[in-house]
Formats: sequence, C-alpha cells, structure tokens
Amino acid sequence: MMWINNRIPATALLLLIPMTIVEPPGSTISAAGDGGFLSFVIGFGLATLGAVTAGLLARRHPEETLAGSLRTLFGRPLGTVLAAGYALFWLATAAWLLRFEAAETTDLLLPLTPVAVPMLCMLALAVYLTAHGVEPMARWCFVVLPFGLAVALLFSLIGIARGEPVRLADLPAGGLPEVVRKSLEVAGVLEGIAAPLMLSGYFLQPHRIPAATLGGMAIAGVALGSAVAMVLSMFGVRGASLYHWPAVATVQNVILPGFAVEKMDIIYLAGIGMLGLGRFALLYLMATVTIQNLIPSVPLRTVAFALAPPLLAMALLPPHFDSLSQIRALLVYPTWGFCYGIPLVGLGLSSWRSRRARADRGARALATDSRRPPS
Amino acid sequence: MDRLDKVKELRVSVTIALAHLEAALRGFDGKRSDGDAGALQRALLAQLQDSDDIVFRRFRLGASGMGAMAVYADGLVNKEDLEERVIAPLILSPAPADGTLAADLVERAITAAEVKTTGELDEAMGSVLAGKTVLLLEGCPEAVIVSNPGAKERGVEKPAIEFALKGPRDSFSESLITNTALIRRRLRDPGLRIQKLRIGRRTRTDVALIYLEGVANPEIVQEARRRLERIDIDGILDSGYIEQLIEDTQWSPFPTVNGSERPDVVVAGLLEGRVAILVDNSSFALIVPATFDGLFHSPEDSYDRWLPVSLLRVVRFIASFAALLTPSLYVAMASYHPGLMPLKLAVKVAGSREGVAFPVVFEALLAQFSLELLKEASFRIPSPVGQVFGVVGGLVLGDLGVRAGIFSEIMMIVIAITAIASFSIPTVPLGTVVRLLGLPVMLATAFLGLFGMVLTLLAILAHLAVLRSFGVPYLVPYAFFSAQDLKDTIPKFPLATYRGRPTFFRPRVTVMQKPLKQGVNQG
Repeated sequence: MMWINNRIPATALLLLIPMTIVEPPGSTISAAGDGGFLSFVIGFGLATLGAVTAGLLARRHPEETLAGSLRTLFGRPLGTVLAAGYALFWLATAAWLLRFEAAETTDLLLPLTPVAVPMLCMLALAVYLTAHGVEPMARWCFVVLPFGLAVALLFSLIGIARGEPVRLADLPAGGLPEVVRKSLEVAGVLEGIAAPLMLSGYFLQPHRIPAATLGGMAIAGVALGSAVAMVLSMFGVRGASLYHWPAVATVQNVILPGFAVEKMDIIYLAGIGMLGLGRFALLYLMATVTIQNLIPSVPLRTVAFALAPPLLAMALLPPHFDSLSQIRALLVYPTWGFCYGIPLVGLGLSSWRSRRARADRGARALATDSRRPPS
Repeated sequence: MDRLDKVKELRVSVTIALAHLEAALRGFDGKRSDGDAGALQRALLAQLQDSDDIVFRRFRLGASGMGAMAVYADGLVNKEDLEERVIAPLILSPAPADGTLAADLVERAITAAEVKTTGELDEAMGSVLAGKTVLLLEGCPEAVIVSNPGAKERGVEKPAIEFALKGPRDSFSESLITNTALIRRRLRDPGLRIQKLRIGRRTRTDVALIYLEGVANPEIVQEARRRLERIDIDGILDSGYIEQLIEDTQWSPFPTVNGSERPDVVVAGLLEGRVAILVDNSSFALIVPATFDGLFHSPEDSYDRWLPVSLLRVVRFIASFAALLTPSLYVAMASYHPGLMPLKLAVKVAGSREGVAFPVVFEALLAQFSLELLKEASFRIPSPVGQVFGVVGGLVLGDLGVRAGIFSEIMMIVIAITAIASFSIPTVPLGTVVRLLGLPVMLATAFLGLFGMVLTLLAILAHLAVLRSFGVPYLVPYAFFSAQDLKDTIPKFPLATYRGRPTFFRPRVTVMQKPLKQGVNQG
C-alpha cells in the first residue's frame, strides 16, 4: 500500500529534535549550573549550528542513509567504519540514558523496585516501536511530546516565577574561561542534534530539512532554556550542580495551595519521564537504523530485537550513580566528534565536491563550445 | 452456399421437432438424460427435492402444452406475485418461437420486473436458495430466473444504537437491497458503485462493496476487494464476520474497521473517500479505512453547529481518559503518591479506607468487576426491568459493600465516575476498548505507581502509532497533519470553512466545497 513507505515529512524534525534533546534537562543543567545561563546560551547556540550543519548535509544527500552518505563522502572503507562508530555511539548513549532514566525512577518514585524493572519496561517499548520503523516512531513522538513539553514548561514557568530571575545574569567565579568551558560541555550533552543526519534518507521534502531543524531547535531551546532558567533562578550558579536531580529538586519546592507538601514533583517526573522515554526510544532507533543500513539484508525488526540484550548489558554495567555521571562526562568527547566534527567535515567535503563537479562541467561545456565551428 | 445453409436450417428444425416430440412422449419428469436442459433439471431435483421447503410447481405452457416447472423456496418468494406475473402469463402464452424459448418467454410472457436467463447450474441453484424463482422449460437448455422476493423483513426503523438528536431517523435493516437503496437515495451520483460478491461456501451471502468512483482512492478499493475475495469460509451470518476477517490485525483491541447502522453515516464516509461494505442479513455496514479520531465522532456531529460539537467532543475526549484512568489514578494516589491529593481529600481517603478489608488495587478490581457484572446482567434482563435492576442492584451492592467493609465510599465515587464516563463515549467499540485497557493500566499502576500508569499510556499510544487500517495510519490526522485535516477533529470548524476531503485517504478529487460567495448569507 502506498502509505507504508516508512518515510516521514521533514517537518517531523520540529518535534523529533526537541524529543532527542529536551529530556532530562539534568545533564544540561549540571553543565550549565556551574557556568551560568550565559554558558547555556552559548552552548545551545553552538548546538544549533551543529544541528543546522547536520540538516544541510542531510539535504545534500536526500536519498542516502547515514551509512550511504558517509561512504559517498569518505569512501567505502572509512565510511563504513564511521557508520559503525555512529551505531556504537548511539548504542552507548542509549544505554546510558536507559540507566539514567531507570535510576531516576527508582530513586525518586519507586525506591523499593530493582532498577532493572523500569529498564526492561522502557526497553520493551523502545524495541516495539523501533521494530515497526521510523514512521510510527515519529508519529508516536508527535503525540507524546506536546504532553511532556506542556508539563515541563508549566513547572518551569512556576519555578522561574518563584525564584529570583536576576540570578540568570550571574557569572561563575572562574570568569569567562569557565563560561566557555561549560558552554562546550553544554553543547557536548546535546547529541540529539544529529537527528537530521541520522534519519537522512527517510525524509520526504528534503529541501525543508534545514528550516525544520531550526524550528525544532527553537522549540527545544524554549523548553530547555526555561528548565535551566528555573533551576538557576532558584539555586543560582554552582548551587544547581550540588543536586543529583536539580530540576526535580526545584519542582519539589512548588507547593500548590491546599495540596500536601513537596509532592508536585511526581507530576513533573511523569512529564519528564515521557520525554526521557521518547529520547531513549529515538536513540535506540538511530542505533538500529544505522546498523540496519550497514547490513541491509537483515530486516529492521531483527536488528531491533537483536540489539536489546547487548544494550541492556551495557546499561547494567555502571555499578552506581556516580559512575553514570563519569560516563556522561566521557560521552561529551565522542559527541563532539560524531555530532559536530564529522558532519562539519562531511558538509565541507560535499560542498567542495559539488563545486568541483560544477567547475568540471563548466570546463567541459567551454571545451565543447570551442570545438564547435563558428556559425 | 445457399444449399448448405438450407440444409443446416433443416437439420436444426428437425432436431427441435424431435426434442419436442420426445418430451411429449416422456413427459416432464426431470429424468431426461439428453441435452443441457436435462442436466440442469436433474441436478436441481437431485440436490433440492429432499428439502420440504423447496417447491416444484409443474405446469404447461398454454398454446404449445410444453412442460415447465417453477422451483422456489417456500417463504422466500411472493407467491401471489409468482402466480400473477409468471405462471399465469406463461399458461396463457402463445406458442414460443423456435430455438429461442427462454429469451422469448422473458421478452413476451413474463411480466415480472427482474428476469434473466442462465445456463449455469450454480447460478440457478444459488438463485433458488437466495429466494428467487427458477423456471425450467422442457427442451430448453437455459433456466429463467425471476426475482419476486417475498420473505418477511423488518422494515426501515429508527437506529437502535446510534441514536442522534438531530439528523435522519432511518437505519439499515437486514435486507441488502433495502440497504443499498437507502444509500442510493442519498447519493444520486452516477459514480456510486455497488459491486456484489458472494461469500460463504454454504451460506452464499451477498456482500456489497460500495464506493464513489472518482473520489475513493483505487488502492483502498482494490485492497478492500482483495481482502473480501480471499475469504473462504462456510458461512457469513453478519457483517461482524466480515469485519473480523478483513481487519488489519486480529491482536489489537482497537477496531480497524468502523461500523454503522446509519445510512447517512455511510454516505458521509463515501463522500470522504472511504469504502463501505454491506452484508445481506446484517443491519450494520462496515466502513474502511477507520481512524482513531473517528471513534470520538457522533452521528449528529455533522448536523450540529461547530461550537457545541467542539465542546461535546472535548467532553468525550476527557470522558474516555476518565474512564480509562480514574481507577488507576485512585490506586496510584492511595497507595503510592498520597501527596498528589489536596490535604483534606487525602485525609478523607485515608479515613474512608480505614475499615476496608482489602488492599486498594484489589478493592478497585472488585469494584470494576461488580460494575461490569451489573452492566452485563442489565443487558440480559428484559428491558422493562433492566434499568430498574441496574439502579437497584448498583445502589444495594454499593451501599452494602461499603457497610461490609468491602469498598470505601471514595471507591464508589471512582467507579461511578468511570461508569458515567465510559457511557458518554459515543461509539460502542471505543467504550469497550477503554474498559478493557483500564485493567492493564490499573495492574501496571498497582506495581509501579504513576510510572506504571504513564508507561502503559505510552505503550497504548505506541500501539496506536503502529496501527494501520487498510494502509492508512490509525492516528491520522493527529500526527503529520495538514491544517485542512484538523478541521473535523476534536475541535470542529464551521462547515463553511471546509474545502477539501481528508487528505489522509488520498482521495482522487480533493475539493469538497467551494468558498461561499460573498454576501450570499447576509440577506
């Protein structure tokens, strides 16, 4: 049937990008908490540039998947290695996120439940969605994200109103170098910006990818920015990073008239949990799609099911929460490479090649004209 | 050449004369062994003569004295009509022309409106069993099929389930002909196609595939036809059989085929580019493709103004969430997150649960089960007593349950909200699905609190995102929407603003309405 083509409109990026970035703001807030709001602004600006780079590269190779475009740009051997690297990177990021989400759930909501239980539940849902392809996943994100965003934004605005927004202007004690360092860290935790590139080859109307990417970053910026602003206005620079769950800690201070104390965080967690699960499912999809593109003879469904056990094993590896933080800090470096570096080099190569091809065509046309006898 | 033609004509005449002579000598006893006509008669007699309801009426054609037989099923045929329009004219008929007996009779003697001839045994047999009269004429290789239905049928009555305050009050009956006529009366478009198929090896049920040529997407029509044609089953007793056999997945609780007993709803679907399937002996039409959004629409939505309809749709949407989540929310708040309740309510809940013997989740399950039990029992009890039984049973059960410490008062309120909310859902399938899914949501909540509830909700949404109906994503137009498609969703826009048909069915002609001319409605 004509509808079953597993393609998505480019405008889907309006919500897919926020979905891969917004949850949970904890990582971003921890990074920005020490650097102040300025470091978030700069870091997010860098991330926007990275996202647009990925979007432009995806537009240049509309019919090629990530593996295909990497092979076209870097040659078959290197392209294959890079694509495999991407798959591993997404897998590692997804595993980290799965463990982080599960830890948050058991820590704040279900202290008596083993961490493996929420992990298995979330993994099952992600596998189910991924096995059906890109289009159902995007459709699901479209329906889920507005609810999650609404809850997150509502609490952020309440938090900002209750805090001291003047704190947003504060700078860290380390001055500008500290701001720059933290900006890079903020940009390094937003690996979802590579979504346009990861889903390349699945878009309808590829010419709209850059604009949709920018739109998606704008939505993500508002949501993430308000969460960071909420925490900073409540706890101030450095204060935010003292908490394991800074955003939740902020919401815990929101007391609605007539309600029992310090429990509105559950609603916030439900909203944020939706976004977290969505982000994890998308990262899992990206890893699955990348691997399936490398071995096209294997169906996506098989890859989706086959990847689940190794991912679960990876997610269970970190022994405690502190090691999760350390892994997150380590993941910043590959993020820079895979989400900023390779797309930038790829875009440069792609535009250089197309310019050279144009020049060659022009030279050939000129040579043909010179051989033609004058009329 | 002339001589050869004459010889051929002579040979034909001699053959016919011999056949007539032989028939006259042997009489018409159905045991002829020669020719196609004999085979047809033998087969019909052999297969049907043991059935007492099948009538074999023998008579002779007036002028020629030729033997004839009318075969029909007693009770399915209008006997007066048969006598007046078929048998009497035949008995009084002049001698038929040679060699074109059946065709000649059809043209000159039989005055019934729907008559045709056939040489196929299956068709002749099927026609007798379908309530038509089959005429077998001595020496004639073909049978004449006369349609003179006389079976007792329910007339066109008010809808029993899809009641609407506004709009037409007729509904489908069990007669396929009546039902297609109800559609044709509303849709006088030459592009309306009604194509009949016969499904069911033994029931040989007539099934009509209906669509609007030039509007419906040919791929959807083709897919519907393909799914109907691949059915190979003994019997089709209702459209519900077809629904189960053509749906996209058997494992989903959500219906991927819509049903309606209202002809106006079917016509509205056809105008949108959908395909309808009607089944003989069924008063429910099937409409495909189905969408999730369609489950929230009530028949009168099309006839009412946009503002009240929008408001009511919001209410229905909230009601379906309430029916799905209220017991689970109560379980989550009472057992995991009491802080989510206002302080005074939390105290009340704790107080009301003081004397209850069971854990919250068991109490909720028990209350839900009691509700289903009452509902099911009130359906089975004769209607004059049913409502009284429901009210009295509910009150007695609730009151005594609370006093006995089985339920808390709050739980009774929760169950009442659930019941009222589930009955305000406009379509029966959605109401059933909501009640069905409430159970896993509640169990997940019992194990994992609010996290479990959110997780099951996301899983339901994931299932909806994956689901398709005849290739069309079930969640349209809520994801990847166009502004035009959103005009008839939960908020309904004024009818004058509608321009095109829903794009997600990919109709051939998209324009539905041209803009109203300026000033026309201002006096």
